[in-house]
Amino acid sequence: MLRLAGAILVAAMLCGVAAQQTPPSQQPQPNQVFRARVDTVAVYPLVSAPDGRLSTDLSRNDFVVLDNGKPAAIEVFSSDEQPITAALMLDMSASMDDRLVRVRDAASRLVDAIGPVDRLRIGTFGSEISLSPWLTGDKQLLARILREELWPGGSTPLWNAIGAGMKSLAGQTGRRTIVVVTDGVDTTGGTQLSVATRATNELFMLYGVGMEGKGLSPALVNLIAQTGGGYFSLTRKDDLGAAFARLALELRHQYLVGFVPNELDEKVHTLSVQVTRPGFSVRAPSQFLASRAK
Amino acid sequence: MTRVRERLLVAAAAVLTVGATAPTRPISHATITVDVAALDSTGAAISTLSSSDVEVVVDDAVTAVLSVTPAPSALNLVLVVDHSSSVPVRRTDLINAIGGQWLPLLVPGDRARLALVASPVAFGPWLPTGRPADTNMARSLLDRAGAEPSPIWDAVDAAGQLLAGSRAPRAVIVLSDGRATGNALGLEEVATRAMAIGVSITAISEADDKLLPQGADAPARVRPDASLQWLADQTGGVYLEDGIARRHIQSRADPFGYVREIMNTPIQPGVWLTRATALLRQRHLVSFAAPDDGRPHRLDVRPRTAGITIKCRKAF
Repeated sequence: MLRLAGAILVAAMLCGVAAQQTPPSQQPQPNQVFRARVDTVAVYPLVSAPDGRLSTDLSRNDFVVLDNGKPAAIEVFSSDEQPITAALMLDMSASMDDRLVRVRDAASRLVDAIGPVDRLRIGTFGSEISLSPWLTGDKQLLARILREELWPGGSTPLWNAIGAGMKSLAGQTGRRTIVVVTDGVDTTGGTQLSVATRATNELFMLYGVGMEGKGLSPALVNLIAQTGGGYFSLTRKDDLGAAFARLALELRHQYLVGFVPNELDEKVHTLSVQVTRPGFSVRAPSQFLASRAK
Repeated sequence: MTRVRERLLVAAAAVLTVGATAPTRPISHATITVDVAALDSTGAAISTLSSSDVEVVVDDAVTAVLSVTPAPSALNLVLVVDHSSSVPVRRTDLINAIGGQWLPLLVPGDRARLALVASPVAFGPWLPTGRPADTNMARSLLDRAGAEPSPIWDAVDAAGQLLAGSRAPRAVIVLSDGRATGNALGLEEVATRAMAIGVSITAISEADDKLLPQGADAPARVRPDASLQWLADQTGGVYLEDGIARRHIQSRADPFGYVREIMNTPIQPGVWLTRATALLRQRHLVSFAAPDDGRPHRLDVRPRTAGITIKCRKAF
């Protein structure tokens, strides 16, 4: 959700290349600017054409946004490629031991695939939940983290890890994505409630990559759908790198649709983003918090 | 690094052979002093190291040794303790090791401080010396430990920078399992920064060594100890292995043998803290002349006497 206190709402698209080696707290934000009302809610729908390919050439008039079932005015629209701002949370619990190399190699491929305006933060969970202080597009730095900071072992604090990923992106503008790679359910007693609430209130997008084994839990799959994200369930033979490549492709080809809620009542509203062309399907968040900008 | 102001001007003609018509330029040299650990074959410190025992190589060229003298025994030290959830040392053992065994080793003239791996790193106060065991002091610091993450390299770097500019020898002891996460600085960067300010990093490893099957692919060997060892080697520190780090990965194939090994390699951080501290009190200062050009140079201080191991930083 894009909310700013002034009349100009600032979001990101065409960020300059960040000074990658500056301390994390000093990293510049992406800097593309567009104008919108203060209370504009931005969502990033992914549209598939009838033939299954991702659609990237629709216009504002092709979209309809329903807020609690009623049409809402679209204030902002863009079909430009969106920069990626994501926390990549890698499950390092003991049950992932035999996929350590696979996960590391695939994550390296994701790092290789990111563009100059994309920024990634790498996190792990297992014995502990850890997030790199770097949210960066510096591939050498990201490769160093993958080389030096992946340590297998421990339990699966899945929900707390997703929550930590969200917290680490809380200060970022634009689309914020959490990508979680895991083989199972939370084993530490964590619950999805606070994570789901935060995802709705702050419109985080969640992606999941389920490794062979128990895969993704139904609760996680439901939450992913609720945020408008996607998931991949892999078998042992599936190429994890290909899943990451698809994920990057999807993130690049989402539209930006900013709408004004019909009522700012501080309640959770149902949301439906539709495309008027026949046969097209849309993936977008299914709810949002209709809150005044703070 | 100690830079003696008295500079040696060496005639360029004696060094450079660039042709008769080329103008000659004097090369300014400075006396560089580095502190080294000299160990015998058992790993014990050698207390009487002489110039004839070592050879100094700068940028692959042998350089004359100007002097070898015992370093001041007074410590200028930060002890960095990793108490994150992956470290296999019980909290009480750690508290007793620090407060009960290590703290009483400090004597007047020492300058020592405790630090805890955390985000950000937590420092205790500079410690009073010559006082009896005080486990409360260690306990109060460990109380500040969080469950995550483990920015070991950031903590080691912060500890080293705390010693910058103080008298040599300057040292950091890090007690850790090497499972570093959430670091702003990488391992190589930390080593470079430590070498630049002449801080040696002695590592006490609590690292487990694992061999993980990877399906049809070759097994992955997970060695967090390797990072600790590399950091100690680069900076002139000593690498020591406690309990779990001393166990052999091969022995795990034999359950009975492994149990025996566990019995024979108890986790005793206090023993290794004592040893690391003793080694720091017996270092030597090696002086040599080197180009005073403000640029980094590779350094290798090698033993010339059989049975001696020299630990010295790899650059200055």
